[in-house]
Amino acid sequence: MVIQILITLIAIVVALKAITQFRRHLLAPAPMIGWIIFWIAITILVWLPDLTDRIAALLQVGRGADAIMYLSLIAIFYLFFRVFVRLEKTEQLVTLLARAIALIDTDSKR
Amino acid sequence: MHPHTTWIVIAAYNEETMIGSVVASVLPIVAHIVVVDDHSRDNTLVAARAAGAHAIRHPINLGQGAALRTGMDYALAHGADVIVHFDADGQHNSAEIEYVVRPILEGGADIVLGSRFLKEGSNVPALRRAVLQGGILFTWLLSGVKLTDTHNGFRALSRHAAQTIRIHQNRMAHASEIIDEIARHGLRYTEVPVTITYSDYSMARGQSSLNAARIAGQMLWSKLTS
Repeated sequence: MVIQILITLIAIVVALKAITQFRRHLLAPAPMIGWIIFWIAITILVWLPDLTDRIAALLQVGRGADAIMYLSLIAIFYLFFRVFVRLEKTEQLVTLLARAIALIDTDSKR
Repeated sequence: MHPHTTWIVIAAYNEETMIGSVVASVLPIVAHIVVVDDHSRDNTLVAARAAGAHAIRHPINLGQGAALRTGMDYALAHGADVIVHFDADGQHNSAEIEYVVRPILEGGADIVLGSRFLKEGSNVPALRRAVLQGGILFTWLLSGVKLTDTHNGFRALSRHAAQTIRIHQNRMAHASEIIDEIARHGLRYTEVPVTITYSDYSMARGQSSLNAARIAGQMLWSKLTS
């Protein structure tokens, strides 16, 4: 019971945080909705653990908790990969900008 | 000497003690030198200008690959027909520039790569030799280009090659990337023997042998994600 309440509270806080970030124009609408749906789903799963057993049966994994662990791990790896690729892309853009600035600076000095 | 315009491109990071003498050693041979100061914390830029080179400074530190790219863009904009990459730390011998450039002037190659292993009696330290052999094998497996020395910073490119090759790797992996690009665009390449002087200064400044593994990792990663 304690863990359910704790996770629900965390979910509410994070979802509210997403909404305030959205209001400050720091978060686009799509990711905000995505995060809210994600935390609602977590809350539902915490209160109805039997649901996870059904997911587990569907995926032919022994226990509900295990199924959730596997799925989370896959999601985290995927997100990690996305962030990494994005980082690389940002770095290349910064390089492009910095090199262009260097060349403009030199030309204006001549 | 010839109607072609050759430009020397030197990427320099914290090289204020050496860059002046390196520029001075090259100037009598090639008049056009551009030094790209990769946001050094010392006076590399001033030292390079004082010695008579064109000098550009990156507004942030980007790495050698990016510095070479900037230098090449500058040289191409100033009408370079041949571009030579030359190290800032005094490892290379300016008297050998003509050998590196020659195959391009004669029309036999688009890109010429210096090789320290083609030189008789080269004094490459044992560990360095082993790591470089690994690099050669790695490059061959990844790019299908078989060279005797894949990580030599002394190379010459024709205008065509300089315009064609894309360097995305900001840091040291650009050496492997250039070879990859040679294979991808089917550029004509050749190797010429060059001397690498391993002074205490250049060994301290250059790549640690351990770094090779990281470079290999970067190359693999870019292969997987591109």
